[in-house]
Amino acid sequence: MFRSSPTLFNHGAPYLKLIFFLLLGVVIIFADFKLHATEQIRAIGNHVLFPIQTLLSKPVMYLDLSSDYFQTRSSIKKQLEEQSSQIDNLRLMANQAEALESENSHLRKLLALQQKASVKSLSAEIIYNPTTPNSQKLVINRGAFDGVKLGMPISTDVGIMGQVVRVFENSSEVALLEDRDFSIPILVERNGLRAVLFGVGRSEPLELRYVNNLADLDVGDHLITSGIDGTYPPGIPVAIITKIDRSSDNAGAIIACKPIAKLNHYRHLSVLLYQPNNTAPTPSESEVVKNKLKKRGG
Amino acid sequence: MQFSSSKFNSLSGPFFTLLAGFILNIFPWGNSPWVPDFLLVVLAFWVLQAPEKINLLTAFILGLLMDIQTTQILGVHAIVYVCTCFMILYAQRRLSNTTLLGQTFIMLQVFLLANLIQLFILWIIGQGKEISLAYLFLPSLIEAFLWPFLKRLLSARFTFLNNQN
Repeated sequence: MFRSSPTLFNHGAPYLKLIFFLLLGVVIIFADFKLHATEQIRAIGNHVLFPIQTLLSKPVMYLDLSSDYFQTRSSIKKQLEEQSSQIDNLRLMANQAEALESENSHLRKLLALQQKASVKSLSAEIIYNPTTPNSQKLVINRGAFDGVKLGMPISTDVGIMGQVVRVFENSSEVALLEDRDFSIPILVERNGLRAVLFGVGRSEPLELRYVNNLADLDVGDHLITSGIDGTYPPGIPVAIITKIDRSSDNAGAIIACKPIAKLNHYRHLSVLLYQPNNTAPTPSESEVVKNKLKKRGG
Repeated sequence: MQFSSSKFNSLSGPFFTLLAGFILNIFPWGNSPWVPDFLLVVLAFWVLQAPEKINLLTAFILGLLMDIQTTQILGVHAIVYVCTCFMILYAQRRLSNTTLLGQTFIMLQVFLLANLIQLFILWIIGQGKEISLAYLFLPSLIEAFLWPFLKRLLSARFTFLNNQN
């Protein structure tokens, strides 16, 4: 009907084209969201974009550097003093740690436990964090060429920050702890209670779900990775409990946590080259249970 | 609405300005509702100015690139850009018959709808529950605010009348 009008008046909107592109868009969204079948398109696009992205991240970096450069003398002096005292403390701690480590390895041998593999890490730099309303992600400058694999944990010096969710050749995307539906198995440091920590969304507190209402938890408890799923190495700090709501009408307590690593504060972070472990330990019956079963059978 | 061809090849004007918009978008601003979509504003200008050169296909491809850039689900920006271009073509007559202020108000509506469409798509997919409404209003307002400046700037450079002297 729109084609029949004379060209002079035919400034009409292209309805057919709109419908075509909308359908195409819906198909692509479906292919990406449900089937994850668009990695090739992304890889090609990333080839085009990566050089520009790295180039543009430079000015921001230099701005940061220059602000560091113009620090005052007194603040630097103060920092030096602080650091030297810190080094003394650390030296002391290192000595203790050495002793503890040797003791620990000895005890482990005694218990015939699996030796905890030390985790290698790869330092990486944040290129940018994309502007999206629905997710909390980062793009870092390490990719498949550097040995980054899907699912590797990302951490700062203080704690876990997130996980690699998509890998390109020279860069990769990282989902932060706060990202929706992010989950990480944790252990309460104080008493060893196991639970799973979930991300809720942008700048919302993390949530400890499926925990009994009467569980032994307190505000200020530190949560560390348990290493049970084989994705995260055990014993790395994750979050602190900030609020507990044990309302009676809920099945479980509502527990809010704060990530230990400041998610929006760093430029550098490290990729933990911890191989996502496919050979998860198969549950086996403990000796006690076996003995009981034997007794019952006999 | 003739396009100048003396200094620029007929497609290089849109190409370079869209590239500039894209670079502004790529710039690491951080994840905040205060960051407008510069590319969308430039694209809107060109769809209004030269609809025979910059059309829905251009919008779609640029949208896909923006999706890759922002690690968004592929196709979200593409649909938003296509819809925006369609709305501008739909209101083309009205847009070219009003003053700059009137245009800005129409563009505010267009940008509001564009951002609404984005949130709507995310909501349908199931990722829009915790998005604050700042992501709807702030970018739209800033984009509409940018419109008159960009329109002045680019029209002065790329219209036929200005090329006479």
